[in-house]
Amino acid sequence: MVMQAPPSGVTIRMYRQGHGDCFLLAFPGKGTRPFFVLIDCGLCKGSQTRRKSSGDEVTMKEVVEDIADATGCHIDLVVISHEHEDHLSGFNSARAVFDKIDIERVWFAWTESREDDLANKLRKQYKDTLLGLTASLERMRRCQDNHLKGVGARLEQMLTLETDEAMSAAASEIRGITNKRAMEYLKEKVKNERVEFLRPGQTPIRLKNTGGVKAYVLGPPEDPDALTENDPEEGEAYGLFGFGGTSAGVMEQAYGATLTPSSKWAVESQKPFDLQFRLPLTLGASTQAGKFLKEHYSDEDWRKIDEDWLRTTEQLALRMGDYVNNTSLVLAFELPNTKKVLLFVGDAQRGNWASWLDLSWKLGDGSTITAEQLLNRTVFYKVGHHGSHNATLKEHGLEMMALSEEQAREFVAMIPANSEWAYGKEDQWEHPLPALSRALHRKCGGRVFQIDKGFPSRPSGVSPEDWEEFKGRAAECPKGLFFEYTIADDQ
Amino acid sequence: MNSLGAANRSRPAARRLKVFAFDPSIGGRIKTAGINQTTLQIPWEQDACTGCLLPDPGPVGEYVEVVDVDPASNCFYAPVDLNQRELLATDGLDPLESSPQFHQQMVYAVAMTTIDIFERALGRRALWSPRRPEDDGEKALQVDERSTFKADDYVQRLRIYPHALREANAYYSPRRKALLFGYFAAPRGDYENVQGTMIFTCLSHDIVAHETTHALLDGLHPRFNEATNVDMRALHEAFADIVALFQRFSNAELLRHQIAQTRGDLETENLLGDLAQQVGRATGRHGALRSAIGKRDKNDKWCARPPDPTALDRTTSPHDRGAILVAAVFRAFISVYKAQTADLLRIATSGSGILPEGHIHPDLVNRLAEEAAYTARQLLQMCIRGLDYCPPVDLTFGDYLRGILTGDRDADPEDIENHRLALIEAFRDWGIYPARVRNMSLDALCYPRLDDVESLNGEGTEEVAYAVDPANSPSSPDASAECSKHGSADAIVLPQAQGLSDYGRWERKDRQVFQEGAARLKATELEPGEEEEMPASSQAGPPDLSRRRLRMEWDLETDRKMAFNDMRHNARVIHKWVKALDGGTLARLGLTRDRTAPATVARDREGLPSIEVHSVRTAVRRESRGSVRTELVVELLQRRRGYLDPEKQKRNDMSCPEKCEKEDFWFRSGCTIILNPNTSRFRYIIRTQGNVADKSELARIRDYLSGRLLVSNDAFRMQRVLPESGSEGFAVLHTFKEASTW
Repeated sequence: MVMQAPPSGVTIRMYRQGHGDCFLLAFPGKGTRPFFVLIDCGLCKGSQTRRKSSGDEVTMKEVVEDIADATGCHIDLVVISHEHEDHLSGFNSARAVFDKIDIERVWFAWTESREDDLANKLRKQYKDTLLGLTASLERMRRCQDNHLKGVGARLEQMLTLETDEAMSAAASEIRGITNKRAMEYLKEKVKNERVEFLRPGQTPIRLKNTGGVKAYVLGPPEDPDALTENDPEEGEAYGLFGFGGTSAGVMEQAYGATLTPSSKWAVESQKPFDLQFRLPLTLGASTQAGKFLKEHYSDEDWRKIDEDWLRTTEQLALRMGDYVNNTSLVLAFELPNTKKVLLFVGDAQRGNWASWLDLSWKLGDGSTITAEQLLNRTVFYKVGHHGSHNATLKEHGLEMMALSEEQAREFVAMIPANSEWAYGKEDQWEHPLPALSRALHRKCGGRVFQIDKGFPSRPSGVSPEDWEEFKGRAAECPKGLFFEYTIADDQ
Repeated sequence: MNSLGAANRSRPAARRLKVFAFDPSIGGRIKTAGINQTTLQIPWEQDACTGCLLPDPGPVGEYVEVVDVDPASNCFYAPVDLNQRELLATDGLDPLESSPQFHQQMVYAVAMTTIDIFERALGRRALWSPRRPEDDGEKALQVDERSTFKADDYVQRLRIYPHALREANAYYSPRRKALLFGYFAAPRGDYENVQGTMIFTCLSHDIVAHETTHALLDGLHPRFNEATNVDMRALHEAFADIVALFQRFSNAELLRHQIAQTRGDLETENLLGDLAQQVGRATGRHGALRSAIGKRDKNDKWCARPPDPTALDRTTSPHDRGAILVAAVFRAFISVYKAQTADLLRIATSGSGILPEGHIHPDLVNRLAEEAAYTARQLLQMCIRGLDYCPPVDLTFGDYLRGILTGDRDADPEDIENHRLALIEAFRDWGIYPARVRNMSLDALCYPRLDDVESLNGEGTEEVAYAVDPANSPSSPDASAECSKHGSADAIVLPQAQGLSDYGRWERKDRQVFQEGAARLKATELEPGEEEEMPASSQAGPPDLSRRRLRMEWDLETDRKMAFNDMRHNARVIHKWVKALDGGTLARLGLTRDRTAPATVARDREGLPSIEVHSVRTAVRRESRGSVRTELVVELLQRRRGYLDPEKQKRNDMSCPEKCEKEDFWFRSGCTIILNPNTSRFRYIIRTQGNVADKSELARIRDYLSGRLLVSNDAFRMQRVLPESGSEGFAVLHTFKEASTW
């Protein structure tokens, strides 16, 4: 069934596929055809939601087929927030359906551009890091130490998120990994000039034929420190991830023979002493040094440290995950009449959020608008990173939104989280964080949608009339595929 | 080496070894080039049986073994032999960054110095914490039944890996009984480090001393690395920093240099108050990793850090909180130093006490340096000795202050230089004070001496019994007089449920019980091995220790393995004795043997709540006229399975001990007793709050642990900070770049 746009304003659909983002927006467009915007389409492996009634899973194919129906196989704009499995996997798993859909235009963050020097540099470091992590994981899998095995298991999970691959040595060719393939697919699907890489602070983009809906770009920041969450207060300038030594060590031991001369020096430069001092760990007991090694480092396995240096790779993976989250494209859509704002933050974390407050835009009429003003007028918030603890700032985030009484009355949040799955995982993810979830419910007066929860119910402090009015603007797909909510834009 | 032995039978007191005074960076600046290296005098090591010179190549000595494998570079480095004639003659290798053998020498020398300081303060030889197989994921043994100490758990040497990691990190691994030091390429240039050059954490004097202290503290209190409140981790860090900080005051040359530079004012910027400068700069800070007196801001401008009584309330990070404790102790040092040198300044300035511009006289520099060194040594000793007077788990900064003061009062009753006063003042300025103390007077802060109370009032009289009992005689003039005399009537903390009104009664009764018990403990002489003939305590009625004997010969000369075995023996003796105490007495020690305790409380073979004799060690005390006494410090603990979910806790509390689910954390509770075997009296009972069956304490720790989840910096795995079960908790804590100030 074709999705309708309201006469003025926007209808927002949150699909309920699992732990991941997939939003379809319908603005009033030319004639009767709405202007469709699709923001992300993915989920974490294994996080499919189950329908409460029947117990069967919601599949990606169903979701994308619904998108095809709703849009009449024509999407005006696809927005990819960042390159993580839970925002992308649909473009791979439901590729056949997407093939039928016409896509007019695609927006990425500037970090995906191949013509940006900083983006290229970051990507190179990211690739190196990922290679190192992959090798390190291989090694951890083989080791006997229980503690490190745990580290390895967690590392594997994080790497899956980065790549959407069952990790193996074969994944060393990073361009071939699934997430990348999804990105490439989209870039090839639309013609080149219709792929845009957006930067924070650039001139607001008017969506065609929507009567003046504007998109403001807030993130990702063009500052490597902000992206890597380095705290400039402490002046921690670490390259991108600051684990060069560990990475070099893993790379050498994994790919030693195949290293190029330049990477060989990179590896050598991370060694602490000259060649003359270095004795092989396999040295026989016939020499003095070898005898020492045998006496003091062959028994007593519990005291050995062969793999301890790999422990940092977990932190490295976490930093890398945070970094990719921070490359999230953050968009504020402003409605033309009431100037209400819809805020889509992807999975932006602290560094990304903190950078917005410096932004302002000169408008055509000579006035200036600041990011803070946009936040103040926000009436719809797509909760960042499934509601994790550091992807929604408090004073400089949530508390700045929907400041006027009128806006506060209609403020709505959507949490793309399958909490049942996230909390049930062996190593739990607190998605959403209870404290944040409470704060959102308070702020929204109960108007919070979450993927794995039913339609919101009226909290005790809200009058039945107000609640009925809200319900009038919201809808639930009878097949359990999505929630829908409409924001009016009447003068 | 026979010729050596024949020529001179008395062995040398010390071995001299060259090290970097701070770290290699100091040598790169003209201003400080002269103090770049120093020669440490470490205890001469010689094998007691064979007479062979130690350390063996490694160096491998009595206390530590340096094993220089570098798995990240897939190699190892040949061990240095410090007994080579050339090295004996030249105080070891010259400080060289490029030679791994010098690195080995330096970690050995610095670690041994730290151990030496520690031993001198405590008056006994240091032991490493015994190996606990459960840390390796093996099945936990019934700790209480076999007592904490098993022969095969003895770890003679702390292992040191100078090049274990490739990161800006160094840590003590309690699981491996090892120090792991990292190295890394300087990620960017600054005026000390050239980008890409190697920075070695094992060449930072401070970092080596800091990590060694972690290991020593773990040997003393293995449960101190269980973070059950906001102070525990911070305390470990702060204590390690305090040792590292004061250790350098023994470097006379450096001290003189810095005193000359600051014209005696150690509150201005100087190297003495800074920790780990090179690593600090290399990890992107503008100065040292931590400083006790101030730091450089973003613009590289140094500013002093004045005490802030509210700072502690504003931070929960272990390093930030630890820094506050360090600053407080350093402030106490400064105030004693100032008071002690005021007369010198007056003498040097014809009475005005105001120094003229320019350099100060070298003689004055020397005298000031001496005073600074002396004061530093005294304060460091106090800080170390205070550890014996702390509750066995879950202590706060305030408890530690009380421990320091109590310990010092025992060791040095006079306190002519006002060290104790200075500490109280500095702690108050920084807003550190213990809970449940009526005021910040010395009297109230020291734990009450059980034998003191007695000698003042006569034994067990009704006056004593009820004087501190407001419920019974609130208007008695005697009562208020007694109250004020002792300041803190509730210093021995009662279970909350018991209430204050029980206090007077328990004091009186318990003193009797304890004295009787202690008298029996002391009066005993027993052949080794006879103990097995003892009847099972449960059938024996009242505790009978008449044929037992405690082994008290643990001092600086004792063989360490023997000290360990004696400790194990003493633990067994005490364990049996404690188990046989009646319920009321146990309750007053903060222990329970109640069969109906919640099912989650760990049981022994008899199905009763088990008691772990956690540690038995000797402590030296000096009487007011100078005679020296050896006392016994005993730690008793009980534990209980804790669950983060209160419902789950309730469910398991109600089930039976065998069926309890796997715990989320262990809740421990108990006491430290200090026993004077010469007077047969218990001098102190220092307890944790409540006992192991106590609901509110368990809830507090649960709240702490679950609250901590929310402040983790990790978007995915909140659970990782939980429960740290002691294995590699330090690894996470110590990553220099992760923490905000370290």
